[in-house]
Order: sequence, then C-alpha cells, then structure tokens
Amino acid sequence: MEQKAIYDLLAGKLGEGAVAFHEDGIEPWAEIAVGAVAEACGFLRGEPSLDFDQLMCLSGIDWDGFDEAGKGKSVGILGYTDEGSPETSDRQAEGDLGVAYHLYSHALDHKFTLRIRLPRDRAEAPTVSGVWATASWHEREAWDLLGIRFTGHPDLRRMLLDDKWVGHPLRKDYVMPDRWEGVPMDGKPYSANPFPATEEPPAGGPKPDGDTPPAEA
Amino acid sequence: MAMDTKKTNGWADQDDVPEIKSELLELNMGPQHPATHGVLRLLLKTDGEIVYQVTPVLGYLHRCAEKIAEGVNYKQWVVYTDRFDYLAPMCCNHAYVTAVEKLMQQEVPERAEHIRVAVAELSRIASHLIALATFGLDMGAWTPLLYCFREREEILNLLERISGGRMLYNYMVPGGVRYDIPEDGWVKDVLSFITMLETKKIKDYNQLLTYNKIFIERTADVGVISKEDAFSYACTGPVLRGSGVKFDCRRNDPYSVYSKFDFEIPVGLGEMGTVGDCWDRYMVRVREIEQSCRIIRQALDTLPEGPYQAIELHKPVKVPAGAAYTRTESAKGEIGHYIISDGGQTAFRNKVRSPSFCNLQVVEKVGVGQMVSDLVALVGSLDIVLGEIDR
Amino acid sequence: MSSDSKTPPSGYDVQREHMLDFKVDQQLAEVVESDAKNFILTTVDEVFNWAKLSSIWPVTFGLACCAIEMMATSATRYDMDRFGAGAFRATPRQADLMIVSGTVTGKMAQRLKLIYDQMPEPKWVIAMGSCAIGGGPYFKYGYHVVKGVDLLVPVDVYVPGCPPRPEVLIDGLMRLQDKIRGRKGRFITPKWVTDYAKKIPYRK
Repeated sequence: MEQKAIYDLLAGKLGEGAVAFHEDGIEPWAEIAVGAVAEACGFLRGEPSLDFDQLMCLSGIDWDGFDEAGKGKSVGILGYTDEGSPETSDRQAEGDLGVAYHLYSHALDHKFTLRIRLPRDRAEAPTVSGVWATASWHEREAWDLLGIRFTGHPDLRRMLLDDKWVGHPLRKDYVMPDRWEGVPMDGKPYSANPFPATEEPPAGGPKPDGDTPPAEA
Repeated sequence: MAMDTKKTNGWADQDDVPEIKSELLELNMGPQHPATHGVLRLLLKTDGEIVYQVTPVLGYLHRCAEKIAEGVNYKQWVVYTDRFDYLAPMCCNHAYVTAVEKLMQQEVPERAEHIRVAVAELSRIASHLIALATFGLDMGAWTPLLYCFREREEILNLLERISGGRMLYNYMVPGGVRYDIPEDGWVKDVLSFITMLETKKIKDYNQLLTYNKIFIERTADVGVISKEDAFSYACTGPVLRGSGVKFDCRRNDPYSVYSKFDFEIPVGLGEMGTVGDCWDRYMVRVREIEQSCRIIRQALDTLPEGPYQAIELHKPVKVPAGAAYTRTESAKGEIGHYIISDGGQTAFRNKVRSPSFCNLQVVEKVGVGQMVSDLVALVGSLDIVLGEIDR
Repeated sequence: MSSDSKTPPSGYDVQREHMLDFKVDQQLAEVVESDAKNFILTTVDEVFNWAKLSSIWPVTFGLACCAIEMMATSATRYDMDRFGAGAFRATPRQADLMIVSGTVTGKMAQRLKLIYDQMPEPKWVIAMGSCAIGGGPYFKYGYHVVKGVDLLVPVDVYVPGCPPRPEVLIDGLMRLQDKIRGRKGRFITPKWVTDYAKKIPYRK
C-alpha cells in the first residue's frame, strides 16, 4: 500500500493526533502528536489491511542545534582535547527531542515511518513495547543515551551504560566524563618519547637476532 | 527474590513426607565466560538446572560509535562500521555506504557494485564459518574449529590481497571501492577457492559436525523460536529464516546489484526436530555458504569493465539534507542505518539498527524453562557478535 | 658430558665410549649410571624462569575485534602452542598471562581489575591492539572507553595494530619470554627488512 494511503487511514482513526505528512524527500514520514503514538501503533499493528508486524527500528533523536536551512551548520559535539581532558562549552541546550519509528509488514510488504517531537523539559512518550516486543530494548536504549522517558514501560533501566552513569551521552551538550566510579575515563598526553634510544650493540659483539638476510630462494 | 516452589517428588499422597523447599539460585554468566561469544553477561535465575529468568546485561563493549558518527565525517566513519560486526566487516561497510549513497542519490559504477557483492559474500562466508566453529565449540566439539579457521584464513588472504587489511578493511567508500581488483589472478583464485569449498569442504563440515549424533541430540528441538516470536522480536537473518520464514533483504528489498543474481533462500525445515530449533538455524548457515558461493561466481563471471569509483578519493563527501532508513542483509541479519543529514560533511544523527541486538532479545522469552546447557546452545545458535550489540 | 677425565671410575667400559655417540639409549644409560661425571651449572632463577616462559597459560579473555585475531593465533595456521602458550584457561586462577585483546570500556574496567587480581603471581599482561594501548580510534569521542589499559593494570608488552596480525602477537609473546628470561628486550629492525620495505610498490 502507498504510504499516503496508509497515512489517510491513520489520520481518519486519530483525527487531531495526526499532525502532518511529509512527502518531499527520499523517505516520506508522518508526524503525529506525542499522546497519540500508542494508539497509532496499536492501530497500525492490528488493522488487517495494514498489518505492520515488525518494528524495524526505533531511534531517539536530539534536535538541539539542528540547521534547518540544510547548509551543514549544525552545532558540533564536545569531545576530549588532544591532551585527553574533556572539552567544555557555555552553550545552553535548546530544541526538541524526537523519536522515529520505522515499520515494516512482512505479510503485505510495505513500510511506514512515524516521527514524534518531544519538548526538552518534559521528554516523555508512551511506550509501544506492548505492541512489538522488540521495542522494549530500543526504548531502554533511547532512555539510556538520550534521556527520553517512556511511560508505561515495564522495565525502564539503562541499557548500555551502568545504572550509576550520570547524563545521557547522545545529547548534543553532553560533556565527556573525566572519571567514573574510580575508573579514569580521560586520556593521557604523550609526554615523552615512548621509545628511548637504545645503546648501539658493541662493535664485534653479537649481532641482534635476525640481522642476516634470508637465503635467496 | 526468594520464590518457594513446592516439590513432592511423587509422594504427594503421603502425609509424613516433609515438603521440600527450594530457592531460586542467581547465577552470573559472563562477562568473562567462554560461551558468551565476547563480553555478554547473562543474569540467570535458576531452579536447579532449569532457567526461570534470563536477563541479558549489555554494554561491556559500548564504544560510543553513534556519538563518534556525529563528530567525524562520512568517510571517516566507515572505519567504525568495520568494528561493529568484526566477523563480517565487508557487509557492514556495504550497509553504511549504501545508506549514504541513498541519501546522496549517488550512482555507483557497475564494476564497483560487482566487487562489493563479491567481497561482502566472501565476508559472509567467513562469518558463517566462525559461527559454525564457535557453535561446535559450545557444544563440546573442538575439531571443527580447526577446520573452519583453516578456510577462514584462505578468505582473509584473498581479502587482504584486494584491500590491504587482514581482518578489518575500510575498503568501501561512498561512490565505489577503494582499490580495483589486483591484476595477479585474484579472480581466478577466488573462483578456485569457492569451487573447493563447495565440492569438498562443506562435506567435511557435514561429516564432522552437522550429522553428528551428539550434536543433533544437543541442538534438535532445543530453543525453538516460533514464527510469531520471530516477528514480534524483529529477528532477522538466519534466525528468522531458521523459523521457516522466507525473507531476505537481498531478495525482498533488493539493494546493490543483488537483483541480477540467481540464488535461493534457505529456510529451516525441521529436519531433525521442530522448525525453528537450534539445528535449523545452524543448517541455514551451512546452506547459505553454498548460496554465497553461487553469488560470488555469478558476480565475478559477469564482472564488467569500467571505473570503480564515482567520487575521487581525496574529495570530501557532502550529503544533502534529509533523513532515510536503509537496510541491508549482513551475515547476522538486517543491518539498518537511520541517517539524518543537515547538508554538511558530518551526520547529524546516525542510528544503527544492528541485527544481533534484536536477535539476542529473544532469549528473554525462549530461554525460560530450558536447562542452562541448552541456553548455551540457544545463545550459540543466535550467532551474536557483541561489537554490534553494544556499538 | 665431560669425557676428558683421566681416571675412569670402576666399571667404566672404555669400549662403550665409542658407541656412546651413536646409540642414544646407551647414552642415556650412561648418564644415569655415572652421575659423577654429569652435572649442569645454573642458578635456581634461571631454571625457574625457563620453566615459566615455556608454559605461559593465558586466560580466555576476549574483549573485541582483537579477540578474533587471538583465536586465529591459537588456531590452525599460527598455532600459539608452539611457544607453550596455547593452553587457554577459562578461569583466571589457573592462568598467568592476560592478553587484553580489545577495547576496555568503563563498565568492563572493574571486571578486568577483578580478573587481574584473581590471577596468581607471577603474572603478566599483554596489551593487544591500539584500543588497549591508548584508546585507539575511540580517543576523541569515546566517553565510555578507557584510554589505555595501563591506567588500570601494569602492562609488560604492548602489541600495536588494529588489530595486530597473529605474527605480531606471536612476536609480542616472544618479547615477553625474553623479559621473563631476564634478557634485555631489544628490537632492532633488521636491515634486510628495511631494504625490502623500500622495494614494495605502494598503491597511490
């Protein structure tokens, strides 16, 4: 089924919840309201004429500092300096967070893309882990790396980082840690030549191993 | 969590036998454990030998690749895709450059696509050989490992001759491949290698491992993943095909030049037990090796002349603004890149949907109620690689 | 064997001495029979070191990509067993070498330290690959990567590469054996290697 037709079906079901459908670009996508995402996903999964039985991917996005003009002038991220210490910045983060859902139907062989935008100060979205079981880990990862809280998730813990980790690393204003739980995370500068000059072997003494060329074959 | 389970051992009708109380045992498998294929940690709750609950704990190899994608440019990040699935790096290269080229709407020379397909399939064979070897190792068979590594070394030699790297290649770039095929009989050597593999070596593996009685006893009817579970947990690759679903991105969602080639999609048939058991997933991999050989032969037989790069190597890659999700078939399953570009030389966001990440999740459901030793068989048959789970 | 003693002890057959060079079993019999003439001078240290370096048991501790090369080193073509280091132990309590093969992350660092502490003395560490040496390609943005395993445990030998070839790991193992033997580790690139390298036509 064409993506536009799928969106029309979905908009008929959601009403106000369906915000817009963007057809320009390589991949068409539907923007829907945050509150309606659980209902939308349940509809897309359950409706026999749509039957989206696989959630291919669930991605969290931080839209902070995104260059809408398409000139590649987005904000850069912070890293470690060449000496190994964390870089810092005074910039205040702004802009929304977002989640993208990529769906696929094995039975009917069509795809669909949903996107939602969440305000930064209240980054909460309803979970879809009851619809597709695979969403559970993807949502945990989005919580871990981006700090998007999925309400109703049965087990919302950090996925990749430790429970005691501070901050959400994929946010654009994340400052790299220098130490964590006693483990040094900052680098060390190359202070000296790691290979000090060795004294020459004495003349007439034993040659170092392997100084004779192999016999010609 | 102490859960009391009443056990009567068949003496339920006798009053004087005291009730046997047992507690759940918490068991840590990993992160340093020979049967977890890396640094996976499984938190088990067992009642004797029976598993009550499996909780995988990930992140022991979290190398921040998605953060790095926002800091380095598109060409530099090819290096990091090598290190996702380090058993089949060419497939990961292929997935990433396909995604970038889709956003750029870049045409790739036909010769480059044929070379890409050939090296990606060689890489897939190497990955499947490791899968067979380590699965045998988990089941207590040491000898197949030596045989599989012998053939893998041959493949690494061939790939080193074309790319310069032994294990991680950084071979593909957006718009083509880095080097042309060397003029020292590479094509001939590849063809003779796959002929040897098809005619002799796969028979060796089958004799050594596939139809071994002990191996069948350990894997048939163990860890059965049903079709519905496979869909719900978004399993892909040999795990999905082992459950009897005929789905392959190379055929169902064609990319590159795969639509030109003739090959079959092997599925699990339940020959030794139920459809979707560990033996089926293993057998799908063995049969995929044969199909990969067929693809390589076709790709190299019809190798066209012409350029192998559409963009000059020293020029930076600029991707127009937009967002797209691209999926390709790696050795482990469907690897997808969701790239959001702002029009510059660096991705704004690059989410990687890695097949092992989704495939592993199924042990939370299927692992329950099994013996601990069968859990090892299940995890081994999923053929996970921690580099792409944790990224 | 010292055969220049003037007065052979009683029971010594001069005619047998001729045959000794050719018959191995008789030679051995000679060693057992006449202990007065056979001795080796050495120090206890040297014997112990020789024993240690000839049977280094590594712990099965694969972290990342380099672990596959470590497996390849112990598998068919390269066969690390030739150097007495092929017996990979699954428990650190039976091992005396830890090959840190791969990226050490923050979450793994504490476990790595734990495994190192569980190994009995004497113990050695090889840092394999650029990640274990200094963070490697994950230095700049790697918020979860420890920039070098030597910040956690003392390292004896560094093996560079990303990943190092099996030959390089075997060479690192031989340097470790030199170190255990008490020799000064020295690696000077032989002249024929540099000469040969100049002749390799590099691709443009």
